Amino acid sequence: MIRWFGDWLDRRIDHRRLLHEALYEAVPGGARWRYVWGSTLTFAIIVQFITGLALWFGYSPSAQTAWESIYYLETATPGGWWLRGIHHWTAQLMVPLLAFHLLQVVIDGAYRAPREVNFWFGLGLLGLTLALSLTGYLLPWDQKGYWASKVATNLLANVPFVGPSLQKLVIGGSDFGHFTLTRFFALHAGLLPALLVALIVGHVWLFRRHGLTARQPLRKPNTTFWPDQVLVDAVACLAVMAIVLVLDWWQHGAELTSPANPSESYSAARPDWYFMGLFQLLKFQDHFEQLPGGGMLWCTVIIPGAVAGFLFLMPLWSGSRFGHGLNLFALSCGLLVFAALTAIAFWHDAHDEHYRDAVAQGHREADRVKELATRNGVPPEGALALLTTDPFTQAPKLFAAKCASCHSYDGRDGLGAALGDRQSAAELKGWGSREWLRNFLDPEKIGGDHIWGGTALVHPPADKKRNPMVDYVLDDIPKYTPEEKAMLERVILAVSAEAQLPVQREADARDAVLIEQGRKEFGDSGLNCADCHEFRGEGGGKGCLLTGWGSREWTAGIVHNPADKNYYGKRNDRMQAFGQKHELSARQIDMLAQWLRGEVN
Amino acid sequence: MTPPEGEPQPSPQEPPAPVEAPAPPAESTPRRDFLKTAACAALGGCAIAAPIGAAVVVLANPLRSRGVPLPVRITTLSALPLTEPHAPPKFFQVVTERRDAWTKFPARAIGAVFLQRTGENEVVAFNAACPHLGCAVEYRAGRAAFYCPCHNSEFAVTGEVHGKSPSRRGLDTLPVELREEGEVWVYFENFKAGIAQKVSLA
Repeated sequence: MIRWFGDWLDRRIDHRRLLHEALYEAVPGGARWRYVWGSTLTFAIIVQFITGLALWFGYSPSAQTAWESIYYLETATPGGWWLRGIHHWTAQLMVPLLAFHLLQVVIDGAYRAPREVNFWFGLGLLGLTLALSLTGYLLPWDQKGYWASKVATNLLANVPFVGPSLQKLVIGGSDFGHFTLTRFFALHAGLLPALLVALIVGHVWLFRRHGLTARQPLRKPNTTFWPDQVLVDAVACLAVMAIVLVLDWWQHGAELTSPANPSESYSAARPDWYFMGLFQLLKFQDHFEQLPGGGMLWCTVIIPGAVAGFLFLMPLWSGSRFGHGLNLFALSCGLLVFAALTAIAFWHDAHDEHYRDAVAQGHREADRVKELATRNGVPPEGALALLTTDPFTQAPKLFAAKCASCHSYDGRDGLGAALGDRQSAAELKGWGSREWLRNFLDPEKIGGDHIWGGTALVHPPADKKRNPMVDYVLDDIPKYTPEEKAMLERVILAVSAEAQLPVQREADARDAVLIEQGRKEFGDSGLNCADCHEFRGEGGGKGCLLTGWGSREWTAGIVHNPADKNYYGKRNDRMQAFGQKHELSARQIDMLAQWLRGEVN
Repeated sequence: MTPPEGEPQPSPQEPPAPVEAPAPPAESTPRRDFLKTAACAALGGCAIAAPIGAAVVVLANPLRSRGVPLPVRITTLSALPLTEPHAPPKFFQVVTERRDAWTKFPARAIGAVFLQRTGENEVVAFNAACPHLGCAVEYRAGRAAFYCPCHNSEFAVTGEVHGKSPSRRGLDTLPVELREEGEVWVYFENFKAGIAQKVSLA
């Protein structure tokens, strides 16, 4: 029955002849491992089509949804990270496979006449594969892909004459945005694969027309593609897939860094490893600066163009023994230089502290944004908003940028980097806590670097008086009796309780009686706090408001305008009115306040 | 190619196997052939021109995009104290509304600048994007120089290229305008990376 149907079909479409032609290609000298590279590449491309199509079903190319859809695929879709990992690692492996294929073709002389055109088809396929890698790198719209692609498209602008227009066409305008993604995606999933298929058809068709270039001497009797060589190829393809799966498992898929942020460059942005050689070449640019056209043109256009041109022309003189030898020599040298450049690039990064910091910071942000997205869901404006409104990641950066020129946080700049100079204003780690207040009211410490030592409050200019609070701490507190010291400690508990710090919640509840006592002693004892400070509706003077001291509102208020009468008033030294002068938005100030108070997790 | 064994011959009722293309008619002349070829090309060309034209017009649309330098309020003079011997450059984000195709973003950082007070009423502004390839440069106070972490470009405090840097020009200055109450406004734009001349990307 099956046989009858086969006969019936064959009389109409002649498929048996095609099949026969496909399978019974002559393999002189028997099946060999050195012939597997073309088949493994075909296999890899089929893998990319399968996984790519499946990824397409879950991908949404726009600046607000690309990262988000990949994140969803990775975390909420069973098997999602595995699928994306196979696509990613197969792409990584295709580059060495291409190199082996090229080397085998050249070493075996399979590029000699009449096979030149097919060699060029192969180079075209190499170029298309690299273009597919470049366009695919951007699609997750994460920091790594975004900033690496920015560099790549800026390089494009260096092509003489048409470069700038080409760049605009590729990125869909004068800056990265929605259209960059729609265009890269159309290239990656539409135009480039279509060209790839067309070239593969031509490549295989020409290969079959010319026949296999057998490696001499022939070691075994002649055979056919099916089944001997197919069996060898199948083993090779399985080995490729095994490597892909091991890498996928080991690396848990492909990396997804935090969502692309146009206003925050990712200094750890690097291209894929096989472009690192070119990346390193750019660092040597100044060595070429004396050449006509300048180093940039040489490193991005002339040298890569010359290498490509040499590869292209190679078959033309390969007929002679000398020409072929020259090609082999040049190819080996080229590969060595490329490997050396790549190694230097990785060596540099491994020894660059700033690079390592940036990578670590990138990982922290990526983990954080994924955690927030999992906990709160992604808002309609995109996952980046989760990060830009997150005190935990933003406040340390704001502190480093705006506060750390005077204040320190745990002796550092908020982000963990060391501070250059001696700080002129208070240490803010533990802000609002009992410990912070105890240090502040300690005659030994108030004039030190960690409190007010660097300010005019302690060291006023000749024509001004010392701040009365400093007078009190330095002159009065040392004379206190043990009872008065106990009273002061209770006042400290009471004032610190105003901050309602999350980390102090249990201690505040435990000491409720002492705190209540401290509140009374604030005004009615010999400590005289209420002479200057307003506290819970009583007392007051030129001192700052202590109702709600250290709370989120109080802290935000002093950052908004420290010269307000509730804070330093006219006694403010150099602290800027960050809110009033629009240095920081209300939202940013609130994030700082939350972070300083340890409210975020 | 020899057919596999056991291939049955087509029965008379079955349609015949594919036939060879017919030979060209005997009466064809070179002139007639040329006319036919030209007519085919013209008709076919017209038929395909419309979709190709539409596609090209849409695809080439980005070439028409033009940006204009945006005046953006950055800070006030009070944030830029005059110190000796020179005030260190300070980093500021450039926050403004931005449009990306169909999305209008509320005020958000679109780039960054370094501002340096050089006189009572003088402020110099540098675009923080490295003129080499567009990464963000940092100011390293210890070396009193700008430094780009991507390809090690270095710039003096005055913005000029410093030492062995891959960048072919110094940091890009931006026009600064001091408005009432000491507000510092900068006309923000980006420039083509990688070349010796400062060419606007707008």
